[in-house]
Amino acid sequence: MLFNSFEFIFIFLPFVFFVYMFLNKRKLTILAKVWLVLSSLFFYSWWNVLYLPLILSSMIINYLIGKKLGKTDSLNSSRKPILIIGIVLNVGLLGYYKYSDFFIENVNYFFSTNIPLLNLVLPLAISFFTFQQISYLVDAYRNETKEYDFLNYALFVSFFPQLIAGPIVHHKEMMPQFESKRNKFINYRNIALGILIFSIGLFKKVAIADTFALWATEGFDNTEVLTFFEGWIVSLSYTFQIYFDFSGYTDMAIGIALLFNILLPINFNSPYKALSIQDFWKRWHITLSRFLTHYIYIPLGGSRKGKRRTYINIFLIFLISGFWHGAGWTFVFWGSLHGIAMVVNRYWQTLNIKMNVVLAWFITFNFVNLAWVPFRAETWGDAVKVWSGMFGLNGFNLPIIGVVDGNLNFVVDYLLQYDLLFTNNIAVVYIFIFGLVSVLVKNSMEFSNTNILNWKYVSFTALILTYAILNLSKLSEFLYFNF
Amino acid sequence: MRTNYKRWVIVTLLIPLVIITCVGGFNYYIDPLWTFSHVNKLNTSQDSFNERQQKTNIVTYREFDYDTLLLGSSRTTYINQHDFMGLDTFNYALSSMSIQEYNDYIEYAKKENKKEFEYIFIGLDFYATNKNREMIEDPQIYINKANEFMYRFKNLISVDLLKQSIENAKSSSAEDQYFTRSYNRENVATAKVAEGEEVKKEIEKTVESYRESVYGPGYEYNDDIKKIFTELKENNPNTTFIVYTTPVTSQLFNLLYEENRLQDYNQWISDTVEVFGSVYNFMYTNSITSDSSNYYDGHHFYPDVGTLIAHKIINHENKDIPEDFGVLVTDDNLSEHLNFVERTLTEP
Repeated sequence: MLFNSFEFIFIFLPFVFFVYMFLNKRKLTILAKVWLVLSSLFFYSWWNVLYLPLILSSMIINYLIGKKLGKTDSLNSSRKPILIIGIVLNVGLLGYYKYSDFFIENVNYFFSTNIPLLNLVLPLAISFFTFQQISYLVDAYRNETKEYDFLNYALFVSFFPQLIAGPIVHHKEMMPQFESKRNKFINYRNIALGILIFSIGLFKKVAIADTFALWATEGFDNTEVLTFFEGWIVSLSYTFQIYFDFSGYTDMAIGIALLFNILLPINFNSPYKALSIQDFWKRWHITLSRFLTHYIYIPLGGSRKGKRRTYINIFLIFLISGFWHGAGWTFVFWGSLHGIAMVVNRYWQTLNIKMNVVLAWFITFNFVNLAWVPFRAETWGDAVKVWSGMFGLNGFNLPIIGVVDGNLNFVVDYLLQYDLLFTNNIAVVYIFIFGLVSVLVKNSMEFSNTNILNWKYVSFTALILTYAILNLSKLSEFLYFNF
Repeated sequence: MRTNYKRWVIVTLLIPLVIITCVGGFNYYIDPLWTFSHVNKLNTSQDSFNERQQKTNIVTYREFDYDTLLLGSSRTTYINQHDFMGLDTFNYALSSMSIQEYNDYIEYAKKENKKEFEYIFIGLDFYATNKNREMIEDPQIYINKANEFMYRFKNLISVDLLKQSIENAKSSSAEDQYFTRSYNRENVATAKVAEGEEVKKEIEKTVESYRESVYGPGYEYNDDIKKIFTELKENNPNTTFIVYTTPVTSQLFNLLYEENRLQDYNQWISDTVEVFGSVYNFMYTNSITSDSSNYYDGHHFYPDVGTLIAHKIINHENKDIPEDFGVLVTDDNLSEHLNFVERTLTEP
């Protein structure tokens, strides 16, 4: 079930919320937790019930290993092997489902073998719940957290707002919130903030990201040659699509969790405002960076083992990050690009040269934009196609992609009707407007500290929520009417 | 403070709720997706923006109990399902319907009908015999969509649908035909009437478009046609199939000869007769196809002609059917008929 679906917004969410609060009000707190876990598993199963046993068995095994770690004396030599078994099991599960075919394809290619592909369907959210459970095992090993109650553990892993696409949370930051008595009652301030942040997220997804997706898809998947302007329209469309899509989803997750009085960690902090690539990674998918830093970079030695090792460690975590994002060489390449950029950035810092702020932003943003190309491309050929366009290798003709096609956002439609825009290329208008929004406007998390008790916020929230809901369902026209 | 936040929540949720209810209510009242069956003065003339979805929605959500199914392309949509006297017919003809789509829609209609059909009428179109034709839509997309959870309700809450509802309301209030093709709530289509010069231009446009993209060099006769027809018969052993060819204007029919497709046409008629035993052929030069006032473009006839076709193929007496309109072709008269058709093309 997706957050941006009718069944989630109008049926699942209200029903789960009211029953949860009702059970808590009746002091049936255990039953309330059971309700939340069952609802979360139902939410997960809606996509494909066949993978329910997979997430359940993963939860049970990790819980048992975590419990064993918690109950074993710190000095006991068996702790480390137990942890290693746990990590290997998690990574093995992820590897089997996500990377089997990638490895088989490469073995077939390099050794001219003909091993058949497994064609496994990737279980929903496996990348997220695997990382989350690895972090739990490591925290348990480090005696930073303990959990002896399976219900609590199941809630920590399966809590539906963050189950599908994060944020990746720590056991120690979630469980005290679930245990807090204050959090078991309806809190209207949290609900108001939750509705506001959810509405922003839904609007980002439905009105912005899905529109950019049209031009990105057209350029990456359906066009053979891109001119200079088209190359930039297509790459920037994807750059904004992925930001508004992913941060929109995270906003929705944070907003929904707030209804239940649970504060999820910030995951996006206006990443396109970043002035360096290091700054970018402090703002983009923050909980993934946190995981990679705590559980890979630091155990590898971090910056404690000399400059050379530091650079290698930095590069390695970005390589892993690339591979985590997708089983393909284009993802590995994307990770490597960011790894190299981080190493350069780190070296630059040692030179103590201060760069002009605008230039720093310009370089960072354009690097990120160029690097998204292989991330989005289905094949190397597609990536080269977009880059070729961006570097003017296919000429400078005016763009066809993004030109008015009659299916417009009503505001832009109105502006066009009265000739109030400088171009009839809607993609350019969108890129201009939402480029400014992502760089100049405060992000949804910053609203948490704002006084929203006024008509401005009521009307803003009601407007974007209404718009997004009314645009959830689109009519598909049949184009070959006259045959 | 608590009260303030409570009020904020209530007002903020109430505003979208009111707007959404109004939009959903109006969309329900008009029902452009045809998932309900109510009739009112604002929903009697509906646009057919996607017949695959809309007619599949009728099959899924309205009371569906018929003994006869009618299949075909947009040409056949203009045949009134009530013109098959004595039969309870559902017109499941769809724009640009391909031969390859028939089976899935028949099977789905059978499932919803909870019984086999006594008769299946199929309006065959020559353009659909092209092996290289790209416009083939997977029926399962529409069938699955119609069966999505809460489909008929969740689609009401849509600004896209609202735009369509407004257009349908305008159409229903208009005195003249508003859309090129409109449907009433009984699944009966009407066509926008075109006048003399306009029709002439439209026919010329159709002929040129067919010359470029249908009968041109990209055409190749689909040898699987017999196999597809045979499978239809095998999947419906207790059903009588009655097939007919759709009448196009003589100008468009002549193009078939000009583009050297007569042999493919003969093959098509022969294959059809071989599988079904007979075919009512209307696609040749006759008094209906020669009179452009029966068409609004090169190949779409008006519903009046549809009535003649319906009556002819069920042998219902109708004095308006010209004698030369429609020939029942069987094994016995196949060669004779094909020779006759060729003569009408070659002899002035």
